[in-house]
Amino acid sequence: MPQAEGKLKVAVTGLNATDNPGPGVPVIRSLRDAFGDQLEIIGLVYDTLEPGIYIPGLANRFYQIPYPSTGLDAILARLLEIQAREKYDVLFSTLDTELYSFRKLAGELHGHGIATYLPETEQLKLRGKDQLSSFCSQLQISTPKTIVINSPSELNSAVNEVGFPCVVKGIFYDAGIVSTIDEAHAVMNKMRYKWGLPLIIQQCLKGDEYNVCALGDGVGNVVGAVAMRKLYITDKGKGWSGVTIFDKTLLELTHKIIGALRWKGGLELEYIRAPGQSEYNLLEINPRFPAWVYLASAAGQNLPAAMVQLARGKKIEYFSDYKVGTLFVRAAWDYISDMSRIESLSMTGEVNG
Amino acid sequence: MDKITLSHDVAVSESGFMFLPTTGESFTVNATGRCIIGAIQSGRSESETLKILVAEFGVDERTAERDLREFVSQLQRYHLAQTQDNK
Amino acid sequence: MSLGSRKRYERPTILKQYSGYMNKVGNRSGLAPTPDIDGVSIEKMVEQFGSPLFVMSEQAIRMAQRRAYRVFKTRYPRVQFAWSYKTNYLDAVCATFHSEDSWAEVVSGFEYNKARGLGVPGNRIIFNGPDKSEEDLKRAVNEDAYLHVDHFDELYRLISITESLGKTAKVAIRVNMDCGVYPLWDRFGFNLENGEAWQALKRIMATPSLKLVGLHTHIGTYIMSPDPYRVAATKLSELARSLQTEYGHKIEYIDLGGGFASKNTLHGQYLPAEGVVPTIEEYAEAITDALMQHATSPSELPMLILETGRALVEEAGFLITSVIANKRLADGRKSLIIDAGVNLLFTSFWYRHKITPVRDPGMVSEDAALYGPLCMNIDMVRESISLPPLNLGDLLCIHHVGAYDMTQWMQFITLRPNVVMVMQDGTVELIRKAETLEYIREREQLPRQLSKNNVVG
Ligand SMILES: Cc1ncc(COP(=O)(O)O)c(C=O)c1O
Repeated sequence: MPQAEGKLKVAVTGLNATDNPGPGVPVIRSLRDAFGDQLEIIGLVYDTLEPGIYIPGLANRFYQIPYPSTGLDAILARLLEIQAREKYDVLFSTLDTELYSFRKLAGELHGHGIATYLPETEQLKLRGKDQLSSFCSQLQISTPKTIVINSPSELNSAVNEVGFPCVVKGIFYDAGIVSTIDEAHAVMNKMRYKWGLPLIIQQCLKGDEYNVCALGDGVGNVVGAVAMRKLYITDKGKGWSGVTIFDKTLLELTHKIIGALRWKGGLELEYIRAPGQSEYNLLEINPRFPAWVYLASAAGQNLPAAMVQLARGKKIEYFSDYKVGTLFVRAAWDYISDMSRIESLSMTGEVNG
Repeated sequence: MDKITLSHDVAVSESGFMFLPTTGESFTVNATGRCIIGAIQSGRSESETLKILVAEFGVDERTAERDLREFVSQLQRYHLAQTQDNK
Repeated sequence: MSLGSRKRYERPTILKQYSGYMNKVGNRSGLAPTPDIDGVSIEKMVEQFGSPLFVMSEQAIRMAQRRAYRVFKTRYPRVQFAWSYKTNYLDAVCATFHSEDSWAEVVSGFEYNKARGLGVPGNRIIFNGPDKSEEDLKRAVNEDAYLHVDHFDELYRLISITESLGKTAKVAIRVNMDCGVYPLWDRFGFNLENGEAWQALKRIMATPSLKLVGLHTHIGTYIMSPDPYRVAATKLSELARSLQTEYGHKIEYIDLGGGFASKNTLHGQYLPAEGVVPTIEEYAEAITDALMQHATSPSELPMLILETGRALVEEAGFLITSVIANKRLADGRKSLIIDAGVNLLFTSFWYRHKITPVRDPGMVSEDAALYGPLCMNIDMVRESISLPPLNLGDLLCIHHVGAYDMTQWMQFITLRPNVVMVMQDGTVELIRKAETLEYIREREQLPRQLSKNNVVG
């Protein structure tokens, strides 16, 4: 196994660069920019068809790991099995569903020489979609009307109160806009079976979408933050291109939120603002970097690299500036590979980069 | 006993991975299953296949028969094999 | 069984690969086998005691109870646990808890008598519940037990009993309140917000034969957040303060009941419970913090009583079961029939139990429906679980079944099996014998008119 002395090894999850992308691929790209050939990447994947596996040179090696729903023992056993072979320094988690498990395992991982940089369980709960309303009212931040339902029977009254159209959201992922009660029931049932309850019913506001990608240091400071306006949005609501902007209000909001949560790790804040209005409505606080995080790196704030350094206990300088007007455009691009890669991953759980 | 034939020219790799060039599907097969597919490919009858299982794995014949039956029905379900009633 | 140098036999398996589904490597590591419990081989236990078999671990019970005491006592000066009998009232289990300095918390005359039978003195028994008979109340008053009054009818009955016995009873009331947990368990005890609780306390204070010693609540079960406990502790502390100001009366304890969530994952939960439920430290922090904030001095602090059930005993229980049959369902899905069904595993209605093979599971695994042995459609232990190929007679270990399964189990269609306890010294003791036909029939009586001679032939 190639393993040069003194190289930094980072294991990264979320290589599902699909049309509902995980942030692993742009995180790796950012880390490669920062650390060059002093870096080795271990890709951790759940599925054999995560596109990152097929991007040449993305990682030095890929390993399959069990889904977060499998149980902590299984996840820990696999992470340590990989650690025994690879001796990686940092586990860089990029997906919502992993965070609770990885947080609980952080102590154990640390004992095996694996650094992490993750929010506390309590912080994760505070920013949960089901807590957003009360969180926003405490901080006096506007947010669309939101009702959490814990049983299917609560849907009708929730929808009545919020009004149509509204968004039905799963507690971790997925959202669907509905305009009739029948649609609401259909979407609810679909999500309920996939993600369980509770579900979130949120008022559907119209306007432009603004997102902020940020990194918190766990004691209330913002290590860096970059704001972006979505320019093109897919029918799944994903930003397919966007441009960095600077607005003092957005930055202040970011400081307020990270300060209140004492957030540790990557974060994405999603806002919507009606045309001509000055008020931003907070739609969601995502507990990890967004899939567009490479835009932040390109604009001058390499937040993933900063986070790796913080995880390793290094002192770093906090960011203060970035280049406004930096544009990203996502493109579909087909990689060519061979069935032997799938075979290797399915039969042995690993494949070379 | 039934005669079993494979519907495709299948190749199971050393690791147990099987890719069907005609349909694009892939399957994983464990060692026991590989042994059965190998026997069928080399034209063994069901009772010969049973004997091979008993000899290779030391399993009792009843268990082998029961498991072979289920395995073959899985092959059929995946459209990988046909059986002919040879009364 | 494999012989000598032959290859190990694993049922032949072919699996179609679907993207988006877990492939075997992820599965395999999830199924580390469970060959033993506290070092005692499960296969050996089954050889001796049969299958299915419930196994309790003495060590796990003691560790859980000691840890709970440590966590609370390092945060609060006076803490008393009371073992919630309904969670698991096998004598051996209760005796283990009592020997770890836990009192008894009972909710019926049956449970009360069981505790007394184990030698628990009345003044270490907390008597909860809506159904205490006249006889139960008399015995409890005579034996100086703590009576937690549930409703006004019981209060008046207790007043008459104490007056006619010429004795004083130690009482507390059960209070229900809004702590942000829904649905609100308002059917037990007296409501705080509508003033009913205060009315009950006033009536008690006006009755010389009743001595008000505590305030009790049990806000629900499997409470996923520490916050409701903070609210409950705060509200009961405020109620205690009102008693102090209005009557100059000081209560001895606040009892916050049970309800801590355990490591079993609920059906609707995507993430494993161990990752999301609070630790006992987090509950302790919320409770003791709230209690401390209401005390003017440390000597003022009431004793804290906890009736924690599932969180203490669930992980100490295992159900060992064997495979009766392998079956393909009409749609090709795999199913397994095992010899333990919902008759023994009542909690499978809401839990997705952790289930592991007892032997090394081999390489592949496949999703299967897991059915119990009952000839009833409801007898489904799990709709879908990823398991390796299993042969007839192979053993599975169902984890975390120490709470409620051995009290809510049913004698239905078949008999209940042996329950053993793996002792700390490594021996295995039978703690409840398997039922027999005679045991069941002993309670039955056939009317003479229907006796054998008249019915058959
Ligand atoms: C009064 C009382 N105390 C304690 C318990 C034990 O609760 P748990 O097993 O959830 O800790 C119960 C259970 O319902 C109860 O009713």
